[in-house]
Amino acid sequence: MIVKHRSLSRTHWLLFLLGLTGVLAALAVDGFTAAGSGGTVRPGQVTAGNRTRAFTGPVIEPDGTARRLPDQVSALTFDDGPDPVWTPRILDQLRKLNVKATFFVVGARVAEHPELARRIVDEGHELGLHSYTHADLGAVPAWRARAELELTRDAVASATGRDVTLFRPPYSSTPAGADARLIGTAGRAGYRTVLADLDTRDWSLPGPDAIVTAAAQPGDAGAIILMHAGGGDRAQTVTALRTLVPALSGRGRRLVTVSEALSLPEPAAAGWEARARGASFGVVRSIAGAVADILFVLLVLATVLAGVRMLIQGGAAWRHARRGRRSDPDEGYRPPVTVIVPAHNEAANIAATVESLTATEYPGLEIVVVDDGSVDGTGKIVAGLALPQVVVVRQDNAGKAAALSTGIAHASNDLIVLIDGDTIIEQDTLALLVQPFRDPKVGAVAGNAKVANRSGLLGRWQHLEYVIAFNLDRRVFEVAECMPTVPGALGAFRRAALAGAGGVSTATLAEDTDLTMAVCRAGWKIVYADRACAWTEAPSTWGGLWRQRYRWCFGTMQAMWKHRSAVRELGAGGKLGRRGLGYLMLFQILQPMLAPLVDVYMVYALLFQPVTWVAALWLGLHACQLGVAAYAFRLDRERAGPLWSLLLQQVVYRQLIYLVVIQSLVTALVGARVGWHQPARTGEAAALTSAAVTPDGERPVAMRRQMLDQQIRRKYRDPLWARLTVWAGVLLMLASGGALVAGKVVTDRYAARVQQADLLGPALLDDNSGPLNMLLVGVDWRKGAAGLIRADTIMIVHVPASRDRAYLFSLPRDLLVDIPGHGRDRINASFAYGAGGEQDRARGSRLLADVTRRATGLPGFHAAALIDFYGFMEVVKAVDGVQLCVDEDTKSIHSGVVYKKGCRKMDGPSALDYLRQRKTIAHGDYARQRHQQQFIKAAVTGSGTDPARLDLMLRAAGESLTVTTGRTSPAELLFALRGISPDRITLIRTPGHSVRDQSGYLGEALNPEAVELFRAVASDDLTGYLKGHPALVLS
Amino acid sequence: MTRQVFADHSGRRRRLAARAGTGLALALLAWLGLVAVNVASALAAAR
Repeated sequence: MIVKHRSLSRTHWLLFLLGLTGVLAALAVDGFTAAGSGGTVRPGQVTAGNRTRAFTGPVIEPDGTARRLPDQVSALTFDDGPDPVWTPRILDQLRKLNVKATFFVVGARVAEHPELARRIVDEGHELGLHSYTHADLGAVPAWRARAELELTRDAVASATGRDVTLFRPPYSSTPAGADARLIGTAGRAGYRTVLADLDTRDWSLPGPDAIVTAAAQPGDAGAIILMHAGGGDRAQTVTALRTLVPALSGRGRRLVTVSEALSLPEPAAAGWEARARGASFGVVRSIAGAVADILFVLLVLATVLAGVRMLIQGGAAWRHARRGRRSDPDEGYRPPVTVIVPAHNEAANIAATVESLTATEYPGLEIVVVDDGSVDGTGKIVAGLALPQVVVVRQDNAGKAAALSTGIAHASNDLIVLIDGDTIIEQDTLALLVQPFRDPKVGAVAGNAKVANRSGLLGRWQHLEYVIAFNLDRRVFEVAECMPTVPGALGAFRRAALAGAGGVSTATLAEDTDLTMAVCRAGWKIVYADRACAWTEAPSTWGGLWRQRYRWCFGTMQAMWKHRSAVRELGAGGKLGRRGLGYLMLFQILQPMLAPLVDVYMVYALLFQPVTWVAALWLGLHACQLGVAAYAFRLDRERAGPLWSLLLQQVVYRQLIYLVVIQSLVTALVGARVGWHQPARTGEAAALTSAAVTPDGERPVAMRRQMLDQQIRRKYRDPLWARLTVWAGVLLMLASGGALVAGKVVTDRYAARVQQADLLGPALLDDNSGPLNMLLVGVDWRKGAAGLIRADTIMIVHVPASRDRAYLFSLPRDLLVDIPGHGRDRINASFAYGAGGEQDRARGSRLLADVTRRATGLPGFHAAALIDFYGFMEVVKAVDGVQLCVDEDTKSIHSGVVYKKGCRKMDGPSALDYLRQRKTIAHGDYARQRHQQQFIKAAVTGSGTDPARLDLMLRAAGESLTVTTGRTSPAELLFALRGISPDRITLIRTPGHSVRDQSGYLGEALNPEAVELFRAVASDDLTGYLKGHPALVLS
Repeated sequence: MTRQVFADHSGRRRRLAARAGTGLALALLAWLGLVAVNVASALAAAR
């Protein structure tokens, strides 16, 4: 063949890079602006930490002054819309009830549904801004918060033509604990912040009745009522409106928009710039969204393709292997064979190739070496060997196809074996290769090409690809009767089949594929002799590999195109066309074409998607691939050693393979000519034969598999440290990936299970780097019980900055304290005062936390937990009772049961009953505090090290347990405390005394010793203090 | 000599591909420009 090729210009690579950049830009825009992209924080969770501050009213003007709604006025507000399903239903309902409301909308959703934003305005309601992505604006940098506001303002301007400056931060609720910094940021940019007086918590689906109860509070005070018009199923909200509106109107309340309630001016018309910006951003976002959607579909397609291919390969390989050793060479079938070796500049290997052929001692073997215009003396080397059965034919350089045709013309036998000039065969290869010809329908047999030079990653990766991809695919093709390629390295043909195919064509660069397809279409059976091995020299440089694969890929495309009409044929041709070409199309062209997009999407997913599913997908696919690869290696009787480099193959090698496909496709499209590029030979294949030289150093003996194996192992063995390092790395990666997924699953589960609410208010401390103080509150509420909730148990957990131990102490429930607004009273009353008539536990807890902070002099708390009696019993039940040591006989004033001195396992009701007793024991409440502390220690024993036990307890507590952990998640907090074993929990006595006056017992007061104790806690010097006061430590 | 599959001797496909490539490149550049303008405008508004 004449090497004449017009070089392909490289502009398509620029286009490719531009395309990838465009896709990345689209994904980045989508990642940052999709609604919910910032919404990883659960509603109700406090993220503003110690920047929170109590405002005196729910509407905060840009100058920072807070306002309340006038008495007898209610403003319904709906967050998170517009939603295509629920917003229209809420609007319909409001129209029926003839009520106007305020909708705080999410910018991204306005851009998606501008018609809904217009409908809200057209029907007389008011619009407010609720960020662009529903991100937790308190947790993002200030510039992003401002950008979210501006983008939403523009989106609303573009949709409705109005310039809206009412703003409600996502995840906000009442003015009692609002993010002062964020409200300040918004105010400086000219926005009026609107919080709520009454939070219906309708997002938690509490039932329509609960929503109505929350929204229709007694009293005349004006109220902004917080509900939702999007972000989930809002059927309960719609139902609640039907009762709520008549109930409020019936009490004489006026229902109006926020602006009307406060007589604010109508929003001005938006300027054309804002409208243009909004429209333009909407276009960018919708394109970006579409690109992300398409890419996701392609990712799914690529994953499905990869999965299907593995299934096909695994299934077919299993079936192929079960067909057994049908080609056993011991039966003596040895038909006369001509081997044709086309050789162009193969001086490095040709002698070894020919010698390996003669060493097979195959009876009557004829070898035709075609020297295709070599300039390195290839022909002379062969002639110099002076082997009687070898014929050397010389021709001017005309290409491999022409050389093969020349060889066939010189062959005198009916069975023709074609092998490359750089290939070494084993002693029994020829005998194994010809066995299938006992079946007269077999027209060609594919041999098993193996990579001889496995040094370096490149050789190893090619070795992997030969074994995993090519050899498995060949088994697939044989089982499906549609073999498209008998490899040029080693294959055998019946002369009649070659003649019927019209000889070897020069129309494609993959003459082996072209020829095989022609033979297959003619109806000949083509099989794969997996045990007939040929060791070939694979390209040893990236450039060489690129050129070889380019030729293969482009040649295969040419052959597929040339034989495209087979798709419509019946019989054998149809099988090749539909199954063979279909398989090649899907897995050798489409799948590699999707690969770059998959790579880009993976980067995007890692940045913007939950890490769990990305890791799960990635690990799952690779685990499957490793399984298939291990099976392929076993079938090929290969050592599994090199499998370690499979994961690394994903990084560079895979990209080279897909870039080759793109290059080939472009070449095909623009019609450039491609010539043969033969990689430089290094003689690595020939080097293998040195193992098979006799002691006299003269003639090679037969190549036996074991010898080649040994030789390869000796030459290319990786140092032990390298293999150990990589395996350790792979294990570490799998383990950490697994742990990441498991950790995320557990965290999500806790986050979903544990109810979170703001239990601390201004007493919440945000800096978790130093010592930690946590407030534990037990309340005496039982399921179904009515009446006031009282805090029966108040405990403080102190963890020093060293995080290696914990101290637990209790406050007497009758401790006399100053309660703001209620004078001097017992500390447990503060909970009831805070909870108020609505029995709002979070509010009760906030007041209790504030009072406790003042009473103890502690700066505040980093976390808090609130549990009621019902939850307590469930927890004890879940862990199958708890071991408690009764230190004196105790008679219950509640149940009459006497708890005898001694240790025993108690069930939930008994434990609760015992722990409530104080009146019948010495030291009363102080003894009871000690019992409760002992219980906490007993309950956590085993939970720290046993996540299953902890999980059980948390699930059992269910809704009875509420926690606040500030900025950190509950799981993160638990993780930070993992180093504290139960035997490192010290129980502390809080010394106090009774206070009485003429009227009798008033309550308890702390002794000076207790005051010092809390001072030591505040200065994180408890360990030192206790050394001087050992009596405070409970044994 | 046999004609190679896909070979385009007239150069017509190459010219077509060049035109299609130019169109695609312009579309991509327009897209990147639109993204850049919008991002810049959003960031400017946030300042």
